[in-house]
Amino acid sequence: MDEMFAFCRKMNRSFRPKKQDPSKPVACWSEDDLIRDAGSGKWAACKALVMIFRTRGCSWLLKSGCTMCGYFNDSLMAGQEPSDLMSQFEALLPRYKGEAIVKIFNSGSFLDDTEVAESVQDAVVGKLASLGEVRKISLETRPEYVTKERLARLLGVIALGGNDVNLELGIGLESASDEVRGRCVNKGFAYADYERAVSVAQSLGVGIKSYVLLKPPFLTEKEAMEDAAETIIKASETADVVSLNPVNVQSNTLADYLWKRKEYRPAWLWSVVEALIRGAEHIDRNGLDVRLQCDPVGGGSIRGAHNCGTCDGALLDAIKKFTLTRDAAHLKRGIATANGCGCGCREKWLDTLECEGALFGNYDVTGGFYSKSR
Amino acid sequence: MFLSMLFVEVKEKGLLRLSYAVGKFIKSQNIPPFMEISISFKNRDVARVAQVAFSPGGSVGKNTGGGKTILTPAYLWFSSERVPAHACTTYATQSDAFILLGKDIVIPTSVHYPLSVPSEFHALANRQNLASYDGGGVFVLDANSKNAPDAQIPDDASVIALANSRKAFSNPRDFVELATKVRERIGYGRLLYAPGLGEPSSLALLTYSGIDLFDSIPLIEAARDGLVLDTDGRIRLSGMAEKPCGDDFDSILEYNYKAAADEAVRVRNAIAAGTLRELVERRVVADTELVATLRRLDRGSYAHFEARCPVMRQRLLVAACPDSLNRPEIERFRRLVRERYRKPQCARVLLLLPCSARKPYSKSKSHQAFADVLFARRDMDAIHEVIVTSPLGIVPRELELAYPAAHYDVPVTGLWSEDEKHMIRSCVAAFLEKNSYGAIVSHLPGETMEFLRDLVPGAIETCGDSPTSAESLSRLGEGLDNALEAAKNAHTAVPGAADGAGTDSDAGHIAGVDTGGGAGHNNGVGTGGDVGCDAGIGIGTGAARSTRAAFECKNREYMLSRAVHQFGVKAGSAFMEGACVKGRYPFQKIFAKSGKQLGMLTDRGMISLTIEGGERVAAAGAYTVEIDDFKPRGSIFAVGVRGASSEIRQGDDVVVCHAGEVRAVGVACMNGAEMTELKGGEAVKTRHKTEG
Repeated sequence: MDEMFAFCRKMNRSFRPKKQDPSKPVACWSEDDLIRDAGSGKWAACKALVMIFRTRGCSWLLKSGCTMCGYFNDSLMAGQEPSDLMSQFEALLPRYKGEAIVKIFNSGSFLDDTEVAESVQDAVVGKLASLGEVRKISLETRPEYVTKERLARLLGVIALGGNDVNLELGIGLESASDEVRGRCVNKGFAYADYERAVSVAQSLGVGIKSYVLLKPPFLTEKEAMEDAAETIIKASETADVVSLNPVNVQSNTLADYLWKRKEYRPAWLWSVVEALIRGAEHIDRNGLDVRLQCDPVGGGSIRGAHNCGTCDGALLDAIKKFTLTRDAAHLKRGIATANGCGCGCREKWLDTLECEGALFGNYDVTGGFYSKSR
Repeated sequence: MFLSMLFVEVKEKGLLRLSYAVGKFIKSQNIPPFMEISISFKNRDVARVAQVAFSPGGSVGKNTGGGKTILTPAYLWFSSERVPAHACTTYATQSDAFILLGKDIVIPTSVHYPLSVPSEFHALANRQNLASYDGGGVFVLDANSKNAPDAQIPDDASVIALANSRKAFSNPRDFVELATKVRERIGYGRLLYAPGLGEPSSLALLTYSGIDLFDSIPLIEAARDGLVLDTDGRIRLSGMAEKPCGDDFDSILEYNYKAAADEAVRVRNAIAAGTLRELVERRVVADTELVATLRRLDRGSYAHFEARCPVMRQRLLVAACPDSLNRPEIERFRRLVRERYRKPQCARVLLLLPCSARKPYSKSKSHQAFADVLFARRDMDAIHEVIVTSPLGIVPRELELAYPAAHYDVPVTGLWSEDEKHMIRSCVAAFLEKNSYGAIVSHLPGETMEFLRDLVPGAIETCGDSPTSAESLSRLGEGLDNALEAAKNAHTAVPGAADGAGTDSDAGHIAGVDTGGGAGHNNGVGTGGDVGCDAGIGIGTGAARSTRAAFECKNREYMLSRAVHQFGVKAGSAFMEGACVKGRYPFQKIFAKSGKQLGMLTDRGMISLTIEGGERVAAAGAYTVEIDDFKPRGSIFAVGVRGASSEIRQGDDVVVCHAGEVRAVGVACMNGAEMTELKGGEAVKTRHKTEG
């Protein structure tokens, strides 16, 4: 879709990047997570350290960019010396307090050596693997950078540390449908590319975390929810972790453009819960050993997945509990609690599912005459 | 929103993944391969009243039956297990058959993009929708106001669902632009469906904008939000001191359904009665956005709505609010007076008069009192009465029967708003620029003269505290005598044919004036020769004059004014060439020199043509409907119309021709473009047909 390619490109070009210090990281924090015991195969609670590096920016963004991704707002959009990245890593390392998992995010592809130099990749992974307490290193990348050579090299670096450390690759599948991924996300790769990356990784024992997007632009709530549920189900066949990510409206994106014009509403939390339940039921029914998780960025706020404002807390709480226990019963209890608050917004959400497709336009967000009452 | 596109893609691969189709409508049933929607037009106003017969398809082998007939504007009712539509079946009237969305009418799955993305996206969606069009008669149009004129629409699609209708409606300017451009694009013969629109308060306005079909989804949404809908707008039930219905969803929904169905009936009735505009003006004051939309429609799309506005109706035109000033027919009247109108040649003294509540003015007590004063003047036929009024600006006496001069009703306060003052001033100024007189008498009350005085310097003011007081009337008589005397002197000072040039220099393009001979009426003034009507006596020469001859000449010139107003300068002049007028106003007949009748003025305010009169108008190339080669028996139907003059409006007297031969004359039931385009419906109600 040339129109979409051009429009996203224009959108990403039309902003003036903030002056960023190439040697300062974006953020770092510690959070609760789950890790699977290699021996028993059971999932257990643990801590995870999240490091977010500031890089040049995602290679796809430099060509066109995705409709919902505004991580480039934190990127330099200009060249960067490998030493700058090393400075970032050295600044973050003291924050490590024995977490079992370290997640390295760089708003792009860690395996893209034009973004993160090979020397930096090796140094970062090698250092973390040598710490002893780290049991899993999680990286993010687009599938085209997943090659046997790159992964073998990193695994070699890990082996040098002498510890039993798993490597996990997070890949933004977004949707199992090439149509949705292509026309609504403008992701720039096909399902076949993802499959290839997964098989390469798995052949080397590298884990896969699959990111599933909920409600990219141009979909109705129902289409979005169903597409996310189907993608979770499909991704569960191969991935070790499936992470559901409801779109949150980030600055300078196409989603933001539409949202500001009242032509896009982030997903309802009801849809998030529904997609998770459908996914979890499939996983349980088929006895899959995959972890389904969700941490809605900006959940409950107007730019993130949200409901009416009254019942949001109950559902966010249920989603968090589910993520940390893999027990879908929390989601069902969350629905009951949210319904119990009497806000009645679940009915409105159900109306949306039923009616929005017939509108050939947005339900619930239009502005002007349709936002008035006396 | 638009993943419906997947349907298109997936279908090509032979996999019907209906979960991606638009919601339950498609999922729940087989898609009828063909749906017959036949549209016939019954009654016309600014909007269409179309009688639509839906014959939904269905699975193979199922008897599709006779279908359903509805009158537009109509609701397409949404229905599901959670939100059943059955409650509103109670309100289905005989003219509103109950059409279920997704069952009786199926909207095909289609691609569309949000309104705000660049035009290329809409063009792309349009191409895809065209490629996937299933022949079902319903087409989803994705267009913004920029590319609507280039939108592609299947020839056989009779219902056009306009994507993003609701979003467009949230911005009055965008909406007006989009709605009118889409209507121009799809023409007169298809129905426009605005998904997600149709709250009772906006139904009349939307119908006036050209939308025919609505759905019940906004009623459901409002009910869910605890909002009660009626013609006053959307009101939060919890804030109402007295509640019109229960506060649960079902009760509010039922209330909203009823309000909507009732309003649809009112709108249809208003269309049938020709009073939709009045209804719209009553409704829009419920919300500023609606008023803004109406103002945009009036100011920004005058040509679009003028073309759809009849030139004649029998109903009272209620000009109750400031927006009435800009009604298309009122603006049209002002423009015609400004552009087509020329004062009668015999008129030498301009008399400005106030309007009267009773229409036509000459039937009112005040104007009869003025007439008595005029009648007592020796040269009364040289006095030209022009009525100053709101919202029409100025109405020359001879046009007082024309629509809407004889049909309007305004609140009479004697107070003028600034808008009215501005409008009247510009009308008077434009009038005086084109038409000049030997003298001006103003019998307008002081509060009117206050803002007009500078435009009529030297005018003799005759109105005291009340225009009809004995004192005012006696001053009027004196003033007129003085003015007539002054005007006569003005003429004697500039003798001969100079009068024609001096007073009416722009009139050259009225056929006959510049030819000199033959067309007696045009060069009658000041030449003193064998001119004028058959009396053969000139007017204004100062020679012994026959009051009767002057009277007849005035009658003829006034008729010329009407003919020019109705048929345009060229055809109107040709029609009146050498003609004379007989009969008692307003029932006057127009005769050619040969004695054949050309037409007749009736109290409907227009000239009704005879075949002979029609020949003259047709020869001048105006108001002509070209038909296939047949002898009209009754009405002319649009299917037989090959072409028609673009200036024809509903209500106009038209000439029906084939290859230059007049076949009939009658009254247009639709405008020229419409009767050319449409394949059905009554185009011309014939009055006379040629023999043989």
